[in-house]
Amino acid sequence: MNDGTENKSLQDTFGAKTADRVEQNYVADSDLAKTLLTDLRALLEPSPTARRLIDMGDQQGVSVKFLRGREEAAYVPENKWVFLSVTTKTKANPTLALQYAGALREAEQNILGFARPGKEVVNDSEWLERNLIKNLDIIVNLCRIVSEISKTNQQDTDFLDSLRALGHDELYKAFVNQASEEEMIRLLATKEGLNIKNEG
Amino acid sequence: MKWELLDKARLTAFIDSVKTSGEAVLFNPVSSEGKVTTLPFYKNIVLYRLTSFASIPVFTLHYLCDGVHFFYLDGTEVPLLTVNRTDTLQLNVANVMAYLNFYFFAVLQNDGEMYLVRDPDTYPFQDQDAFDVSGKIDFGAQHSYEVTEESDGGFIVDTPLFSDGTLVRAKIRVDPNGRVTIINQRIIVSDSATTLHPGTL
Repeated sequence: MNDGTENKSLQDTFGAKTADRVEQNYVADSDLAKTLLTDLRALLEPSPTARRLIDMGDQQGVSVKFLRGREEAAYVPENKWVFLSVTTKTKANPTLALQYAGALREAEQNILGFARPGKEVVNDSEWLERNLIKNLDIIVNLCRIVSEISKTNQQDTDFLDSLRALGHDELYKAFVNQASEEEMIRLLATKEGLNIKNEG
Repeated sequence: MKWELLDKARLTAFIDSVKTSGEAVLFNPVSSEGKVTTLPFYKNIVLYRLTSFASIPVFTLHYLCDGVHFFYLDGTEVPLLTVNRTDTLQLNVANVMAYLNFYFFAVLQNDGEMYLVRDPDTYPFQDQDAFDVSGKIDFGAQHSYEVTEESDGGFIVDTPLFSDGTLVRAKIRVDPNGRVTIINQRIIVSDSATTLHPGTL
C-alpha cells in the first residue's frame, strides 16, 4: 500500500490536531427520529417485557438520541443515555427495535448500579466476567421479548429472524429450553471465544 | 491493509477532535479503541476507526482525516466528495477497485447493501472494512473484473458484486472526482454456486 509515510507511524503523520477542528454533526433529522421512536415502540408493544423497559426509560428520564450513521446500531455510554445510529434509509424494523430494547435494559442495569467496568479499574478476568454477565442479561431480555411477541402471532417470525440475525440463535434455543444461567453463560462465552473456568 | 492502534494520548486527542458538546458522552476513551490506516487511493488522507466495546454488538464510527479535519462517514456521499474535492484522490487502474469497495462501504445505496465479490461462498461474512482489493477477484471468467480507463481520467469497471444479497454483474463508472454511477447490472444466473440470497445461507 502506498502510504508515503516510510518509517513514521500513521499516528505521527496524521495525528489528531485539535486546533482547527470542525464541529461534527451526528444528529439525525428530528422528524425522522420522532417517527422512528414512535414506530419502534409500536413494534415492541405486544411484549410486556419491552413495555416495562420503555416505561422504565420514561420514568427514569432515559434520553434516546438518534445519530446519522452508516449502519443501524445501539450504544449506551452512560446511565441515562441511549444512542441509536440510523441511516437515511432506516425505517422501524424488528432488529432495530430489539437493539433499542436491549439498550434500555443496559440503561436500567446502569441505573441499578451495574455499569460496564472500565478496563483501568478491574483486572482482565473481572472485566470479561462482568461484561459477560451484563451481555447475557440483555440477551435474555431480548429472548423474552421475542418469545412474548412470537406468542401473540405465531405466523410472524420477523422478531425471531432478527434475533438470529443478531447472532443469538443458540441462546434463544437455550432460553426456550429453560437452560440454566450457567449453561447460558457458557454458551455466550463460547460464542464470544472466551474460556470459562470450571469452578463447579 | 493494516490498521494501526492509536496509543492512549492519540486516542484521547482523536476523541477530543470528533466529540461534540451535545454528544460528548458518546465517546469514552476508557471503553474505546482507535485505529488508523492508509487507503491506497488517497494521498494525505487516512481512515480512522473508533470502536466502543461497551455495547453488544460493538459500536463503530469511521472518519476520513487530512491530518487536521475529520470527516465523519455518515452513510451519505457528502464526506467522500468533500474529501475528493481537495485534490487528494489518486485513482488509477490498480486502485480503482479498492476505491469502489470503500465507496460501497461508506455510502449506502438505494438498492441496499453492495459489496464487491471476493469470495462468493462467504457472503455476507466478508471483512467489510478491508478495502484494498488490489489482488485478483478471480473465480473463473464469469467472476473476473475488468477496468477500463477513460480519456477524462474516469474509469469503467465491469465487475461481479453483491447487490442486496444477490450476485450481479455490474457496469460502473467512477468519474475523476470519485463519483460512482452504476450504469447497469444483471443477475448472474448460469452458475448455481453463485446465485446467492441471504435467506438461503
